[in-house]
Amino acid sequence: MRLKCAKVTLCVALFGHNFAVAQYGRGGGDWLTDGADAQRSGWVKNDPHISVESVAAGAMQPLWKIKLNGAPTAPVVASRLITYKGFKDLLFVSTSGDNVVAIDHALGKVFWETHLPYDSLLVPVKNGTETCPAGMTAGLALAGPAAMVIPAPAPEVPRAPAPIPTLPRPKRIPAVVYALSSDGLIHTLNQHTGTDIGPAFRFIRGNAKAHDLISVGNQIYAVTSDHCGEVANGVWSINMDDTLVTEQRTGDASVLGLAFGVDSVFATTTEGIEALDAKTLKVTRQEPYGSGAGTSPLVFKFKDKEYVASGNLSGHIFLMDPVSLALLVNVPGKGAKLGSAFASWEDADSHARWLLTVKDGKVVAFKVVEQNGSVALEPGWTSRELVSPAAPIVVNGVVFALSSGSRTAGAVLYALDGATGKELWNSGKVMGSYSTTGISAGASKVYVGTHDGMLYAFGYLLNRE
Amino acid sequence: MLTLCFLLLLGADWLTDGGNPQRTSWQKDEKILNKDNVKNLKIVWKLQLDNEPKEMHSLFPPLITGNIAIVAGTGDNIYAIDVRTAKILWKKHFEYPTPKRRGRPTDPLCPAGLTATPVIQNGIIYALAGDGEIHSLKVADGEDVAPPFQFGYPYGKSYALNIWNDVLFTTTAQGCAGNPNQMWSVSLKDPTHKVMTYNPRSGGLWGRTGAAIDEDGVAWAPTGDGRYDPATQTYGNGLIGAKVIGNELKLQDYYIPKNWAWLQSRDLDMQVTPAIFKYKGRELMVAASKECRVYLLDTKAAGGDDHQTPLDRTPLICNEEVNFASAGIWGGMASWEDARGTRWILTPFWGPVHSDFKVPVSYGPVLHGAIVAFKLEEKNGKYKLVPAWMSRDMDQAEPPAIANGVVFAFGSGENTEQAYPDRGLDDNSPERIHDSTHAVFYALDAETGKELYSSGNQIKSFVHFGGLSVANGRVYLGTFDSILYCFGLEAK
Repeated sequence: MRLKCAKVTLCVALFGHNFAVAQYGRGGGDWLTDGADAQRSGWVKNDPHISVESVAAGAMQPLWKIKLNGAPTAPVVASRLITYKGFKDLLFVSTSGDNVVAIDHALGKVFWETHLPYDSLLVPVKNGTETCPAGMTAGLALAGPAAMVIPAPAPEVPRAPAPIPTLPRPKRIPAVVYALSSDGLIHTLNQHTGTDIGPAFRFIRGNAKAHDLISVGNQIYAVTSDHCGEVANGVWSINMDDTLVTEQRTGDASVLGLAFGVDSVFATTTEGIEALDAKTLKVTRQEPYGSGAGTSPLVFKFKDKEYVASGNLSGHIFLMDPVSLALLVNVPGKGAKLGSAFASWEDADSHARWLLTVKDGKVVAFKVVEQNGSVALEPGWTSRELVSPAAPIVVNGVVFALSSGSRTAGAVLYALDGATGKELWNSGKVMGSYSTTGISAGASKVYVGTHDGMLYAFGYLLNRE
Repeated sequence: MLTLCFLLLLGADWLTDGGNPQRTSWQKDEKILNKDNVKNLKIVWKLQLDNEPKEMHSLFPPLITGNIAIVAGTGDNIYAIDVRTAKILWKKHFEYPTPKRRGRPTDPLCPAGLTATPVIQNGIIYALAGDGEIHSLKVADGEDVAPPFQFGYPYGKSYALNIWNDVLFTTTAQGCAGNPNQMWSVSLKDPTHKVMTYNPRSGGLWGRTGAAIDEDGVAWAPTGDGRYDPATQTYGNGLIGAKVIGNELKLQDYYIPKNWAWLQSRDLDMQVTPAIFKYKGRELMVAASKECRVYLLDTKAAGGDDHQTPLDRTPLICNEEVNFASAGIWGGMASWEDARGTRWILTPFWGPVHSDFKVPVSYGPVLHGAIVAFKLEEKNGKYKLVPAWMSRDMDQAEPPAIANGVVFAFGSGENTEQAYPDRGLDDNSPERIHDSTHAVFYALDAETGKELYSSGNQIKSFVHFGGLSVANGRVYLGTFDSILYCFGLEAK
């Protein structure tokens, strides 16, 4: 079947990425956005080389490190791309200096690097603060593989001595990566070259603290917080077909994160949780829950029912009904400090559903269970104490936890058995600085960026010789 | 008829693609051309044939028997040409109902029509038509000497035929028109013409000149991208050897590089027809990959006990960029032995030479491709491919041929890009044809690689899946525009 598209951007969104992202069970090895997917599961479901058994047997190795021009965000990882320079396994990472870098993660070589020029009448912020860092703050978001556009038939040409077919051929659109630069423009970059495939569009006012960039359907979403750059806190989307920007301001409440369910978008703010209409961003429901949300939301399915997880500043962990936002589970926090995000995965063999987060410097795992006909969280395991741990992620049943380190101690990556929390491997003293990126993964590798501009890859080493 | 018989009695032959069943591309019987006179090479004649190119394919390497050149074209044509006069002696066009399945229009990988270079044995041409039927034609007049019989799938993209003990071999690739990727054989002695196949469960077997056959009748062919799992008889990214035993084609041996998974992940498969030769009484072969290495193997135990340990393996010659399309070694290998008993191995390659590859003799920067010559050395049972020379830059160097101390080579001028910066993978014939230039034919000193002759701009079109044939003081090359060029020492 051949399909026609009116605009490149729409086609890319429609065919490449959209609904698949918002749906569950995508699987595969891609890491498309912060938290891996639209539900922010932090879970790479399938991986051919990373498993509890292989990691215990020594599969994890430091693979490479690359010095970037600025502090990196968490990379996004694409499926294998057939480029004009060959098959490439690419990750894309942005840095605070408005740079976007594509790295062949199998080789640890930069494939392309591009700088997004500042294009705003606002004076760029040169020196940021801990709360409001300068420069590009949002990670990148990936769209999917090439879309197809059928061009008009080519005009008849006189027959050449040698026959050259003149059939209309599908025009191919490159796979793209979305980047939100510090001037507030959304760029659609060709994954093959790093060049804009069209004009960049005004999305958010410049110098904002934007994050959680994600592409769903023909919409790109992001959130803003802390009034950085005098930009309103809120949830933002831009329709990449007509470039219409929609916003839902949240007043003084900073938005912590965004996750997609089947029917709604969920945003946690410092004042609670909101369910928004994905198209209009109108708030359909909101709940203040306790002393304000402290984590990004996560959406997962357990026994075919959808749940929303979040936590608050008092360390409570909540499970909510996605339709009513009714509180279904409230795990007391006792004033504990939660991490910035959750992760969730399902054991392929036992079908046990796990929920992970950071609590008081340790990764804690809960098993999602059914008790007396209701959903409940059963305490599972707790990791060793880590220094400012980042949100954990999961690859094929292996939990990766990051001790982010400090100004005097470098970050350390840990691999834990997802079912027991048993430590399987750690990166030792490989990383020389503390991490600000968190962890992302894909294609049998785990990536960590550090404050000194280094990006590290750990994982399975394919024999190239 | 007497004249035709007389023509058949003269001189050296080139009866199969690659010159012989071992695919060495070495014309041992050349007496006219030598390194002293090839500087005087000229286009003796060129002949426009009415063959219709299909996608990027057109004319396949001519077969030479006496003073007759047999040329096959994608338009399901066989031409017999008097090489002295450039007159067409006869032409055969294979007619058949249009097959129901074919490759995607504009796809260079799956052209319709005839795709296999024929083979000649005992004055009979065996030609595989686009509908998958083998035709047995007399060289003298093109008449059928036997009814056609089915050997492959219609539009199945078979590669060059080879023949050994009255058994025809071919290989298939790219799954064109639903054709499986496998090795095929059929005995001419079998009245039922039972088709015998061996399927390595890999990507295509797309060595340009099909299978090479060793002294034991084992047919060796490279296998395209795929997994290696001997437990399931899966032999991707390697080289398989199969032999007809009884009325079946059975796997005899195989070689899989230890980094096969890497090759698979980057589409760097081994897809070069090996060259088989004797060295100090031992039969060896050389194969290569798009990764851009040459492998030396023993035909009696390819890859040793674990099937993964070659006798020698060169460092990377090219393809520093790890590209699947316009870099690496493509097509076939070549080998010859000089008067002093030195065994030479020749490989073409595409793209820039690898910055780490060291060769004692070279002729300027190589950015688009070249021929590299290795000497085979043996000390205390250890074999080594020692780089000897690298030719001048050639625009997509193709497999060479050797005759009387001269290496004949050509840059195809073909645009080999399959992916583009603005859209990624988009392999299509119209764009590649448009962006192709023209072939350049060279003669090189086989011991030094020094250029002795270049055709410059005389050839007007490019070459895709064509190749060189050498016999009786003439070198032949067909181009995309269906012109057959004959180079020799005397003008017409």
